[in-house]
Formats: sequence, structure tokens, C-alpha cells
Amino acid sequence: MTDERSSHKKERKIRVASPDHVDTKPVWLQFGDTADVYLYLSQKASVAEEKWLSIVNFVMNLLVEFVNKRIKEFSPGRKLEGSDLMRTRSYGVVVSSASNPIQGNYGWHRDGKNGIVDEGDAKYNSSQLMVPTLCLQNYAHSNTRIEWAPLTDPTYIAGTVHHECVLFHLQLLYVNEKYKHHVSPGLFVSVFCCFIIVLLTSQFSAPCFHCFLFRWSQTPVPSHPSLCLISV
Amino acid sequence: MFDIGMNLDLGSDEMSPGDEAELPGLFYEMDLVEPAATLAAAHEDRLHSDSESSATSKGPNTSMDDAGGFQDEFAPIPPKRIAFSARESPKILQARGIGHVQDDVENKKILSDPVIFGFNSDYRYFHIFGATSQLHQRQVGSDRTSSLAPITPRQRRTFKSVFKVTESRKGNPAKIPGLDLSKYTYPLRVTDKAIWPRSNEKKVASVKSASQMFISRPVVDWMREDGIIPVITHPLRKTGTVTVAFGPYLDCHHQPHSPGTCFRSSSVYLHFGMRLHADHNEAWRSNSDTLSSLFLRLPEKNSLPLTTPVVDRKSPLSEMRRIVGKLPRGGFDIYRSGGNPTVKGNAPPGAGTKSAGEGAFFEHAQCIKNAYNMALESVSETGRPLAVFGAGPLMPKEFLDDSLKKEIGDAEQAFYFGVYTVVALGERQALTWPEIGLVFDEYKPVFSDLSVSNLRFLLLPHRAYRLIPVEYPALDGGYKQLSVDARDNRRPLFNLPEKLSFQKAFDVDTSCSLVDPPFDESTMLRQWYERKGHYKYLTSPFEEGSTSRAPIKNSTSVDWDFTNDATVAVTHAEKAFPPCFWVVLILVSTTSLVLRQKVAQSKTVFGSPWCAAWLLSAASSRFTWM
Repeated sequence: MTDERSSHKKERKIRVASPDHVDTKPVWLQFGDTADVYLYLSQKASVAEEKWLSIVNFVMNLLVEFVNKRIKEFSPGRKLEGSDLMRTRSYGVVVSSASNPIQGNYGWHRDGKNGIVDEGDAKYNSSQLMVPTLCLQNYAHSNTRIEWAPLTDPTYIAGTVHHECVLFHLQLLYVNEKYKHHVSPGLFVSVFCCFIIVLLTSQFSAPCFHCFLFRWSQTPVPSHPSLCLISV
Repeated sequence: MFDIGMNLDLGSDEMSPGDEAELPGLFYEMDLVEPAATLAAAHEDRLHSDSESSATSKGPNTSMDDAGGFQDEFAPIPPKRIAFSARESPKILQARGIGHVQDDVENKKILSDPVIFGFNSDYRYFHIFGATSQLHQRQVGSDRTSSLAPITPRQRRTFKSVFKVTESRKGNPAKIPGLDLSKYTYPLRVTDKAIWPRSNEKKVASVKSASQMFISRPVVDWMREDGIIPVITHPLRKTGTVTVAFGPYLDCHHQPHSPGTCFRSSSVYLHFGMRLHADHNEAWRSNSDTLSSLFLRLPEKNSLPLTTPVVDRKSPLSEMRRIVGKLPRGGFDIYRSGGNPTVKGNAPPGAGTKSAGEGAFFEHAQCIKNAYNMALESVSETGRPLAVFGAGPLMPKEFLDDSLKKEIGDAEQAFYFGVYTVVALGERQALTWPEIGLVFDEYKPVFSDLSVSNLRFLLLPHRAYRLIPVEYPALDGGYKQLSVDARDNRRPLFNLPEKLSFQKAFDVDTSCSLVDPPFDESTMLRQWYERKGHYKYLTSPFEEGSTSRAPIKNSTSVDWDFTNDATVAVTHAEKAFPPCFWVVLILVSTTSLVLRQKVAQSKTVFGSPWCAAWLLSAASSRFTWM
């Protein structure tokens, strides 16, 4: 199951599926940035994939409603326009990968690619990209690590998530604009997989993910995005 | 078809099917037919997979209940990780993304045409959802025993072959509630008006300046065939200029002297601007831009071969014999400068010195750092024609011109070899003392002043250059001279055809016939020369100060032996006051005194000293204008 698309011939398989798939005009996603770029065409989403998208849309719109509700609470008497609130999300594409966690991981990359984001569109630019991901594996111990590093200082690991049995993580606003991430083998032992949802928004004087990362590094926050969220 | 154009309707993210035809932008269709080779490979893989499946199961239609063999709890289970990620990718983003990919490819942000994956054949082993049997569950990536067979290499399709993009534009602007943008509707510009300024044309130029181009191949060869001799004017360090002709030694009728002619050494030295000293004469100039002649003097430094037959030897002596014997010139070899032992005299170590006193240095290598060697190497690169003379110890008495001797007495004579080009031969291995002894014994009878000390450089590896004869036949009307200033930075410019990039112009692809003839410097220079482009330097000669660009390095100014150079044209500095100024001054003063005496009684202003001053100033300014 060598992935011949990968420049390193990694052991992985990729599948793109969409409920909106049409055989004559499938959905496509871009992989790679500069030298090794390929587009992957979709297949018709299976029933399970459609249900997964339903779950994702439900969860993410719960988040949207929660944030918008808090924004409205903290903006009494103010007429809020569309740009003041998070827009409703409508996920329609599933990107799946199956691999040996030791051999088929992903190098440093950002998810905001052509066809997913449009920097000229305020609704769909890379700062608005939120990516929910569900990871499953057949071993109940930590053997995969996902790390984020700021683009301004790629040597600094701003955040790390370890994947044990089941992991559901969200990359929220601005994460894919200001950080890149990679998936690598990480053999760490823990007892349970954790579902910790950290919902932090800067508008509520609470430390957002962006601030949180820089607080880890004990360096001043260079620029403060309006809204940063991450769920681990 | 999808629309990639800007969708300004903020009220809706989705487009209705009817809106697609209304919006401008890029439209694309997809050609998703897989190549036959891919389908064949997929079929082959499928057969391979089926055979493997049949080996590990009861059949391809084995149900989950029947596949009891797969539930072997002792079978090793490789670690497997599956990740499901969700994206938003509405149709409008998909359509815009095609345009973005196109832009990235054109802007080299994406280096190659993206490959397209995800055809049906790519999904054969990944039907984990909705699978009805454990067999297909396991085909996520591996079977029970081992990994699947490697995928047969396929013929992959690329972005440009799958996505058929067409561009269209709608005349009406987008509708924005509350804004009337119809007045900004303009027709597409399809042609440029004549009054509009044209964009700059793409031009290609040679890196050589005009002077360098005229004295290097191939232009110098074409000029020789046309009877033109380039003459380069160099500025001197302080003031004035010097002109150097590159070609044969011409007589008063502009015809080249015949090889074998003898001249007074001092006259030809001065003619070619070489230094003339009592005990040392330059062999060639150290500034390669001004090197137009070679004066060979020492036989030891100008090849003393021992090959046979003697008449075919590549030595100046044999060349002289060939010329005098009316045989065709065959060329000969010369060596680099330097490599001599240095004798400093007796220098015994003193009481305070820490090292022994060096009275002399052994021979050292002929280094390229020597400016004379560098100049010779540069000349060999350009293929420049050089006038070659032999004089001094190199010239045996048997070749002296008796008639000339009657005119100049015992003054040194120079033997004219003719015109040659220099070709670098590379390094020759060192000789041993017995071999040097053979050379000495062979040539001592001919050159009575032959010195073993001057042959010591042969003990080290040494480099040689071969002088190849160049014929300058006599022409009707003689040779013409084309004078170019070394500071003239004008060079031929060649326009590229419209919509042709520099990369395509320089990409030699004869099948495409991008340009005809091929776009290379030699071809373009040939066209320029045949169209008399070099006459520009005659019709509009260089004017000092007309160019703002810095002159070519090493040709800015020449360290010339000013006193001995007969070809120097000195530009005399203009004197502050011309002689006529003083005449006018005296006349004005006299007139002023006379007028003062005559009109003193009338008390008019003409007699005042102010009047004299005014007249003086008017007269001086008048001559300044002149």
C-alpha cells in the first residue's frame, strides 16, 4: 500500500469522498505545495462518511452557536452584522487516510490549499479554515504525535497532541494561517485517550489558543488574532 | 460548468444552476477517462489481488460469517491508523481553486503540472465503509499475511490534461444591493490604440562592448574578409588618447607589408606603441585591450624544438626560414613570460639577520598572475589578429636586410613574421638537464648568445602558445580602418518577437521553430553585421561624455609610455586667456584713455573708468562666446 503520490513513498492510502460527488465532475483537493503537487479526486461518500459529516457539521455548528451566543451576550444593544459573528459551517468533503502510524505520516504542511481557501474571500480565507479530524487506531497507546509550529519560528513547537486510541481534534480559526503542523510517530504511553475541549476566545478576556501558545513559550504575543480556538 | 469569477452576492453562498451562465469567469470541464495503460494495470492488479484473496479465504464472495479464518487471534496485527478530516469546499471555491492552481503553475509557485489522482483505479483497496465482508475490511491496505503487491506503475494524468479550462467574461457587472455598477461597464480591450504608449520591447545584447566586439571573433574575422581593420582609441590616464590598430603592419598605401620584410626596430616599436628602452624591450603589452603586436626577442623563450625535419619545426627560426624560402607559413610556438632565475648579487648573512641572505632565487613557475601572461591568455581566448615581429638575439644575422643596413647602419632590425592568432596549447612537462643540454647543443651554433640560464625555466612545467598564421591579402584600394573608442558602450541590441519570452528564445528547439534562424549571438551578430550595423560607429562616432555608463574596466585609461608614443593625439587644454584677448585689452585701454582725454572737458560718462571697465568686460565676454 505504498503511496506513490508521496515523494517519500510512504505507506498510506488516501481517500477523498463527498456527498456532492458527481462522476463527471468530482470534488478535488490539493496535496503538496510547490514541487510535488497533486490533486486528488473524490469518490461518492459512503453512508458512514455522510454520517460522519453530519456529526461534524452538528458539532461545529454547536461551537458556532456557542460562540455567537457569547458574542451577542457581550455585545448588548449592538446590532451585529455577519462579519461580527462566526458563519455557519457546512462541511461537505471527507479526507481519509489509512496508514501504518510509523510509516505513513505527514510532513510539515498547512491545510489551507487551493479549492479549500480563497485568500480574496473573507469568508473562506485561510484564517477562517477550521478542520475537525477524527483519528482511530488499533493500538491503545500513544504512537502518533501531531505538532504545531508557528510560521514565524518553525523551530519552536507551539503545541503537541498525542494520539492514543481515539483522538478528535479541531484546528480552529487562524491555526492554519499562522501555524503549520505535521504528524509523526511518537511513542508515548498513557492510560486513556482524552477528550478535552478547550474553548477559548479572545473577545471574552480569556486566553485564546494563540495567546496560550505564546504563553507556553513565555514570549510576548506578537499579534493578537480576534478569535482563536482549538479543541484537543 | 462552474464559475470562478467573483461572487459578490453576499446573501447566498450557493449558486443556483441558473446563475452559472450569468456570472463571468473561468469555466472548466473535466476529462476523466483513464488511460488504457492505467486500466490494464488496474486489471492486472485486480487479478493479482483476487488470487491473493482466494489463497487466504474461501472465495471472493465470502461473507463475514464464512470468513472465520480471519479471526485467528494469533495472527500479528500491524498497527493501523485511520484519520478522517472534514473540509468545506463549496462549488464556488472549487471553481476558483482551478484558477488559483493555474496561476500558481504560471507563476512557478507550483513547479510542475500537478498530477491527478483519485480515479476509480486508485480506490480499489479502500472500501472500508459499507464493506459487507471482513475480507474487504482488510483491504484497507493489507491482507492477512502480508502487504499487497506493489502497484504497477501507471500512466498518470496531469492537471492540464484533465481540466479543460475556458475563459469567458460577462459584460454586465455583478449586482450588489444598493449599488449601481452598470455605469462602470466597459467593453473588453482587444486592441491597443496607436496613441497609447507601447510597452518596452524585449532586447538582448552582447556582454561585449563595441571595442571588445570588434577585436574578437567572429566580428574580427568578418571585418578582415571585408578589408576593415579595427582601430581602438584608448584614453590615457592623464589626458589625451592613443589609437591601436589590430591587424597587419600597413604601408603608406594601406596595403599589408609582406612577411619577411625587415624594418628598423625602433620605428615599428613606436608604430605599435611598445616601450623602447636601452636594455629591455617589451615583448607584448600587459594590457590585453591594447595588445596588438608581439615582438619576439629571446630565442630561449620562443620554442627551440628538436623535432625533425628541421623545416617543419614550430619555432621562430624555422618560420623565418620558411618565409625567406617562400614557403607557406606554418606557425610556431612561444612560451609564457617569467620563470627566470633572479640574481640579486652577493648578500652574506649579517650579524643581526635571522635568516641567511638570499643572493639569488631559483627559477619559478610561469604564473598567470604575471600581467603579461594574463594578457596573452586573454588574447588567445578572443582569437585576435596580432602583428608579430622578431628582433634582437632572435634574429640571426643571415636574415638581416643588407639594403636596410646601409640606411640605418648597425641599428637593430626587426623581422616581420606577418599576422597571427594565438592558441593556447596547455602545459608541457618539465625537461631534464640532459634534455636541456641537447637543446643548447642544437641551437648554440645558430644563436651565439644562447644562455643556459635562460633555459632553466624548462626544468619546471611550462605553458606554450601556438601562433597560427592569418592571411591579409593585398586589396584594391587598401585596407580601411574603423575607429571605435574604448569608452563607447553602445552595443548591438536585438529585439525579441512579441509574446516570446527570453527563456523560449534561448531554448534551442528546432522542432518548434520559435525563431528563425536560431537565436544565438553569432547568428544575430551576423545579421547585424550584414545589415551594416557596424557603420553606426562611423556615422555617429563616440563623443566623450555622451554615455552615462561606466567604461569597461581595464580600458578606462592606459598607462602608455607617453614620450615614446608617436600615435598619441594629445588634446591640448584650452588656455585661460587667448592671445587675442591681450590685444583687445590693449586696444580698449588705449581707446578709453583717448576718449577720456577728449571728453573730459564735456564731463560725460564716456570718459570715466567705469566705461573702460564696461568695455573691457564686453570685449572679454565677446571672446568667451567665440
